[in-house]
Amino acid sequence: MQHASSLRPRAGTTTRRLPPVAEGPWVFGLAATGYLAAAAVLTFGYQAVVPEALSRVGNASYVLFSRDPHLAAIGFVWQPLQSFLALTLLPFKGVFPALLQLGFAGSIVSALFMAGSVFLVNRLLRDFGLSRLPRLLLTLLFGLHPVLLYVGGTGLPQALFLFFSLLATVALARWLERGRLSGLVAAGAALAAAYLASPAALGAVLGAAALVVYRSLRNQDRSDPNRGLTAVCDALILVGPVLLVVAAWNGATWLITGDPFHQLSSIYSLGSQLHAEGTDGVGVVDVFRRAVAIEPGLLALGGLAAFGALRLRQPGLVAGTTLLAPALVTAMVAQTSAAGLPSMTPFVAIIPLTVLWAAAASFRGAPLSQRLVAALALAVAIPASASALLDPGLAPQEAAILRPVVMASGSQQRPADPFAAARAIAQFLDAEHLPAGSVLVDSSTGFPVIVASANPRQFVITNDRDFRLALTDPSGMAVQYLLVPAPSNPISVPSLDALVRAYPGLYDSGAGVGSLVREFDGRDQVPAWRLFRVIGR
Amino acid sequence: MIASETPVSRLRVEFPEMSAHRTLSGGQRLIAFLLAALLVAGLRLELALTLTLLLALATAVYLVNLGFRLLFLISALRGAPLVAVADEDARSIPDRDLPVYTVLVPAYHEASVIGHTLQALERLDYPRERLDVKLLLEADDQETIAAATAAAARTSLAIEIARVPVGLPRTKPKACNVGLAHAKGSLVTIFDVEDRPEPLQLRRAALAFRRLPPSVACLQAKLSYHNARQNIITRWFTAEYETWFTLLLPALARHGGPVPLGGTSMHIKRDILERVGGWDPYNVTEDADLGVRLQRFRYQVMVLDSTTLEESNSDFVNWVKQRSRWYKGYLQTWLVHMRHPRRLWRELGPRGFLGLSVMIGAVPILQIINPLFWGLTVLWFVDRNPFLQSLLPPAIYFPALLSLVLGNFLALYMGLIAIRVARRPYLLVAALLAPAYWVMMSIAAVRALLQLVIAPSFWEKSVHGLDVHAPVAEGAHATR
Repeated sequence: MQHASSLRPRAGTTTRRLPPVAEGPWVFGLAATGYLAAAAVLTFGYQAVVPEALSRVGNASYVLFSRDPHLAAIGFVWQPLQSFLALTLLPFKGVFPALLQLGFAGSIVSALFMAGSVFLVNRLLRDFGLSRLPRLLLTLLFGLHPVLLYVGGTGLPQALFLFFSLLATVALARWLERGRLSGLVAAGAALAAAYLASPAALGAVLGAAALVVYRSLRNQDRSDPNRGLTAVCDALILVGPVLLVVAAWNGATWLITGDPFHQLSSIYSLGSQLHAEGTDGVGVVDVFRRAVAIEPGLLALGGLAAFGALRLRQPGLVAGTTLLAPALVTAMVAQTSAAGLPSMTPFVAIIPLTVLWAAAASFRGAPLSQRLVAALALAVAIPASASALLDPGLAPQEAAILRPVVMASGSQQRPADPFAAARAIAQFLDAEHLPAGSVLVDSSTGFPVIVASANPRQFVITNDRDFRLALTDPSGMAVQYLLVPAPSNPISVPSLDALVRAYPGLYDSGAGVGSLVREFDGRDQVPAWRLFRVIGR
Repeated sequence: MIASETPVSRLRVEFPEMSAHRTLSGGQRLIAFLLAALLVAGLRLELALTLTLLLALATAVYLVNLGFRLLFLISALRGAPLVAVADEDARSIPDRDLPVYTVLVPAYHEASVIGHTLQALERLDYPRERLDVKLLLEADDQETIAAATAAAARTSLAIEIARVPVGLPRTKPKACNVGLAHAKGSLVTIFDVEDRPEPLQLRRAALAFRRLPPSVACLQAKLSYHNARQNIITRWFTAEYETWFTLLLPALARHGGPVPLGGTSMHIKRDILERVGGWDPYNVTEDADLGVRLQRFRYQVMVLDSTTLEESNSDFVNWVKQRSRWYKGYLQTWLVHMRHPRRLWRELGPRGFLGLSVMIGAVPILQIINPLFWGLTVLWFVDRNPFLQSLLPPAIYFPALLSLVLGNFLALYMGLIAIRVARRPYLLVAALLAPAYWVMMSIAAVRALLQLVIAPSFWEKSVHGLDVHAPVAEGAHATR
């Protein structure tokens, strides 16, 4: 009795049976240990906490511990997946306060998913048919890439994005190879998850959909009148889950903020703000310089890989290139149009792309010289991108975090705590034992204070449903204090603060609603915050 | 010719507790009365709490249903097993090794179609001397009897015309029981008058039964439609059937759930069929009921990889009548088997018990409450009604939201996958417009509930021959 699968619309190409390899769990375990160690050293050794990452963990905490706990408090400025996953760890903050206060919950999420990415790259390389030594070497060169160490060690969401993009690559390769619909469904689901980590995934979705249409058309008889419709069906099976999460997430954003693309527009305003402040321009040249700084060997490998690809028709290479390259381009375009922060981390897709191309160039039977060139081109990326990460011109965001680390590791001194002011404010307010809803603060600028406080319910934050009411009538809503960022506040972008925008001149004069209680200084005695007492009417 | 006086319902005599002769047992009447009283009291005394509990119950049923569908989709994507017999194998069995096969063809007022039916049966690749074809005609349907007698004379098949005695209930299962009483074959199947079974189907089934363990009592062939392109209703119906027979049914069979059989092309061992009491003439979906009953007697049902093409209902009113009958039958089936819930749980196991309740019994109910929930959803977002908001605490609101978003998506997505697997991509637009079809289902469900109360065993007959053009070739590619 044969058991036919009903879900094999076409006869699949022959499947190679691979011997069971036990290295996968080891690769994952080692990588996870490495990234977690990196996260621990950065966080606890050097206080190197990325504000964006901390803010995402803050968003997760508002869902559980704020004055008004509700799911929508997750916030709509960023894609939510990183915060959702960090949220699952926050109940343990009692035993391990750093999970929230230093955003370590986010670092754990990123470290694990980055290790998952290493695991998937290793698996793709195995499917390429690379033998053990080159496979492990390329896996190692991928996992040790400084940008990935940075992302995996600081709780940034690009680890999730990378993991789900690679998962989609594996699934799509399976569809290319065997023609089973389960590959399309899995790829679609993985891309949907990738979109919830970063909107750059939409580029990968377009690339994947184009590939599916192309392959579906080629797989069918030219004479079949339903050829086109079948291709559309295949593409819809891939895109379906993505459409679902776009509808759900952007629909929810629309219902709650009134703007379906709040993520874009608010980041956009952030980007243009940076422009207005004269921060590095993000021209096309800058963007390319950044990309090349991450992977200097990319173009050379591209040539070699194209040659190898023609000979190999490797499904993993085809799927990986059509997914990762458009995702990279999307991130680059977003940065030139000031829809993204000037930073290197959004370009992470370039790293697995380069590794896949290096693998394609060093296929079995390729000349040794070519294989060495490929390995070398990858190895070069490690010192090159490490130095780029420390260059404020190329990577202002990353350099701001990493330069103090490097300087401190040279001397015996620990770098100054960037959140010292926030902690001082939290201590001051906690000592007042204020009732719930006493301190009005914009969580997008005030998150370091909120996560440092032992009494998060004392704050009225942007995520609360009555924030608007409290902003227009603080004394009527029993608000006692207004917390206002200084123009020189290094962590947040003060001109975006909801209080500053609602009451022009608030920081300087109190704008008639508040009287100055105290000023809190940040690093190098630069003013960071002012706390005002609300003047009753 | 047989003039039959046999009892039409052995089931009612041998297993009265499994017969839908009465819709509700005494105990069920009492429980129904108590529940109704509780509901009325609750609505009068604790309106908000009662409504919240009702919403919670509905949400739980929706979620379990969603869980089953997800499980089945994943199972189907992994390759749910269909029982497949290769063409060569099917053709190469020597005739003498094939069992005598009884083919029952119940018909009523089908004078115009019966000739075509016999032509379709003539295409069956099976030794004539081992084929026992019985046309089951109502004794007072002189027109069809005359047409059938004339057509039978023109075929190479030995056809027996059985006259089903006049009297209530006048249902297809009653006719089938009459046929069963005189069946000569060790295997039995049913074809409707408009069916076009794949020619090798009987050979495949016979060989599969030989290869499968003896506990497999029944093989259900896949059903599909030859007139899918006729209009939007036939397109919807076909997409629905493809979802059911290519994705859900094989997965249901694999996970040990009770498999509601299709009304035709189910191939069953006669001795087992007789042992479990034959068909229930009082149940208007005797097929679904038989699937559950087989399971309760610890027999297995599997899905055979062979397709019978039927005529899809193309007319709105006709469709609603047919669907109401199905939903009424689902409710009957559920009520009959739920007479002794503990015994049922023991016999089917927790998964089978839940599967029966959620995939059969709850289907018509969900179709009835679907429009209510859509209305509530609109009200929720448009009106932001405070009373409504007070009824939905987060513990219900979020599961309900999940089931709304994911449930509707999954329904569309499974349709999409099904038409792709069935290689019927021209149904794409219909598959995407399915929500309009769901409205039709709701209309039918309301009608079914009313009929269950008024006329539980009344069989509303579907009119056949409404397909304007019926190219035999079309859809043949769906046949393996």
